Amino acid sequence: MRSAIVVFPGSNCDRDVEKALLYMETGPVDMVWHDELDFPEKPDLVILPGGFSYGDYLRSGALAAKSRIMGVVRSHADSGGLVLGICNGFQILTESGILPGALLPNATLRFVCRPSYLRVERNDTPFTCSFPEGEIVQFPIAHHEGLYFLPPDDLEELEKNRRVIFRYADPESGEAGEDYSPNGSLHGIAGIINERGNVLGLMPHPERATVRGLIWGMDGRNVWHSLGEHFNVWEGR
Amino acid sequence: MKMYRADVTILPKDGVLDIQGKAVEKTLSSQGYDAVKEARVGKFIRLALEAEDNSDAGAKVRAMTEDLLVNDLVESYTFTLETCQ
Repeated sequence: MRSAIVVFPGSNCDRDVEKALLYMETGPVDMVWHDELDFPEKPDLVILPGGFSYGDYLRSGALAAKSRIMGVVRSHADSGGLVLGICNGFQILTESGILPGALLPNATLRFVCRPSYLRVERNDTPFTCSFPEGEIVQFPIAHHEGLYFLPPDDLEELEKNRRVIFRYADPESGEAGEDYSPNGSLHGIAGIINERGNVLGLMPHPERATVRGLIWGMDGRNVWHSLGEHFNVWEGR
Repeated sequence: MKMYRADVTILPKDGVLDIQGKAVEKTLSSQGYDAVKEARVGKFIRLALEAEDNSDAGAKVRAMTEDLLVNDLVESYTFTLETCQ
């Protein structure tokens, strides 16, 4: 599995994602500057990492969504290629219209940086096939604009089509929903997928819960494991 | 070509949670400004641009605003135009 990580001015999780992928031995990783017109080699997976592209000026992700590289990110997605947007990467995906909705300032108006518990709503996607369905996992969050918003009718449609993949949850009871949103996110939405099922955006950071020995745990590994399984990375090992 | 100044005002749409507006409104009330019934917090962007005439300037401002300056899912905008030197 060849991965391409797009680096925007202000990205700060690009190296963390690279480390996580190399740690999981998923295959070659290319770091791609946002001003490039194309990837150095055709990737299987494109990752838009977390950070504060363009200092979050205007709206989080709005300026990065107009970067030159986004042309090929869009055509990669349109042709069925996998795209994963994490945190600021999720904001870039909504701002570019590749995923629906908008990420608004947290209901608390505070930056939240802490562990978050999520329920895995579906395990029939390339990003989540290694998780048991309904599992409660912990990926940390660190954001100021994480309140997922979609007008009521569109939100209903999104839910009907089971496009919510991760939902904030209570680790004790396993219940998930708006009551457990650390940011006021509607329906407790932490991550959604596009209609075709090849583009996932999520606010929490699986790459911060991957490498052994960090305080955040290792639940994030199953995201990279799912992708590796999807591409048969470890076949025959 | 003439120079124009466009003042673009951007506000959260009705029905979209405006957390900053709510916080401002609450603080104003707590300071005794009972007259305040609502506060909405948005953005103000001033553009200097070249255009043939008023309608050309208006079209350009609308195009730029809808392409980048606002996210029309959650924000609405108005603008004013003036010629300038």
